[in-house]
Amino acid sequence: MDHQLFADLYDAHARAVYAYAVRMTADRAGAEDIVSLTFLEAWRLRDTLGTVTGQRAWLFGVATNVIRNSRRAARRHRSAMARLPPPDTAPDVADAVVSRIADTTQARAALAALGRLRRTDREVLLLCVWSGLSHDEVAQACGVTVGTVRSRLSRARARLRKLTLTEEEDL
Amino acid sequence: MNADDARLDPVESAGTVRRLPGLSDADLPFHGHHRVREHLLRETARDAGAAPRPRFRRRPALFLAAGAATCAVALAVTLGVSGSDQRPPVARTDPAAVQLLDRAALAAHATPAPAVRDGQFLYTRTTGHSTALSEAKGGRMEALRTDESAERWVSVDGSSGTLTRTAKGTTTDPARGKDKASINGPTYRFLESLPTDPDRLLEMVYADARLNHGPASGSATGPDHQAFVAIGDLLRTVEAPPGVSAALYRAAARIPGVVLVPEVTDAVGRKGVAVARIHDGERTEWIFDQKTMRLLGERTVLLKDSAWGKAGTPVTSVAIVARGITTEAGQPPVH
Repeated sequence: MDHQLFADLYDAHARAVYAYAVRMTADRAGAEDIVSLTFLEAWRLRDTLGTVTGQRAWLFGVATNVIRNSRRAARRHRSAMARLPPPDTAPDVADAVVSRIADTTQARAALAALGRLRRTDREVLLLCVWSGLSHDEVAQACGVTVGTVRSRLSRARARLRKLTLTEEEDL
Repeated sequence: MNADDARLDPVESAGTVRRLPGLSDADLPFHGHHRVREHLLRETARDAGAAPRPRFRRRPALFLAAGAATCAVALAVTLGVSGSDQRPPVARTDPAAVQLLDRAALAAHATPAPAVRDGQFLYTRTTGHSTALSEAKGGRMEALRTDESAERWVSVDGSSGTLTRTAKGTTTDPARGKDKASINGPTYRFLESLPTDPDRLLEMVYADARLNHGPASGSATGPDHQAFVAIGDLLRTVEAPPGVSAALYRAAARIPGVVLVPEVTDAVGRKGVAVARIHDGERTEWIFDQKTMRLLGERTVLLKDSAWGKAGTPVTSVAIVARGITTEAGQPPVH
């Protein structure tokens, strides 16, 4: 992967990786660091990219490992991360509007429900449903078998059905 | 099964999304997109170019084709060495080293093949250190020791990714798949498929080495040294079938410039005898037990003072302390 390909990879997938990190961690500030670390790792591991069939699935696998162990990734890229400029303190008006839309009670409740799933079940559910990876790709990204993907997925869905029903009753 | 069958039923998927509203990509805009992009492009350009950055040694761990290539490029840039114009004089091979490698090959042949099944893992525990060079205050380069102790579970058939456990935590590489193994990322099944004729095997190793370290590559490592390093990595990564291990040792004996180092101590203090190759002021040593001729580990020693340290410093030393077969990744083998 050369520098231009790396830029293309970022342009194609950074937004999706960010959204995945938010769903996974419910932490929007931290999700930005996860995007940075994911792409720093992708660059470090760029020689292995040639051996995979799906770029997107590979990148989500890298992101999944970064989320599982962000401290390790942060240590590895300590100096690069130290050079990351902090977010602007005054976000522009358009940004603020979008933030308000996204910060709905709904989204917060959804993140809370996700947070009550097992971490490994949550990974599989998010990658299948929102990131649109196939079962095979999720298996590869999470380092498990396709059978495990299926069982985690059905467990996550069953638990989610229960959780969201309870919350609707609570309202 | 085609790819679509493997995807979640769209109706079910929509149902899940309905249960958890507000979480689509559009609902979660990435405000830092541009800022992070600029930063990443700067960082990776820095990595590809000549700007000072922390330099890690070629890591003495597994599957390190990426690390080796990157480091070689960095060195080439820093030292201004061109692989093609300044060919070192052809290195002579030490007959004592050839003899030692032949003994190692005989010992490997006499070792029974590990009884493995698909789905199992080859376990290796290593202890040791490496060195990272980073820019300290005032632009001075500072050498820091990095821990390279690790436990690794490499899938026999490539159906699972390699699991690595270090003091920092546990990671799993994406599974390579059964057909994606290579010299730089082997599985046991891949090793079994390799020729046991040393010349043919060496040709395969060189074909791979020339790819990244040949004349036009800008690499300062050169194909001979890369071939030596690649075989060393392979031997340390997973226990190869006896015939292939033996062929690897005999192949190494054919690499120009291989020498004998009579007395070497590995990362856990075991004394042994080494076969080594000198390149660019560093000696890379494979350490063997004097009696059993079993591979104990690997070391790289500085032969002259440099930013990495004083002459005589082992900048990398990794010892193999345990090996075995496990049914599950993450479980130590039962003895």
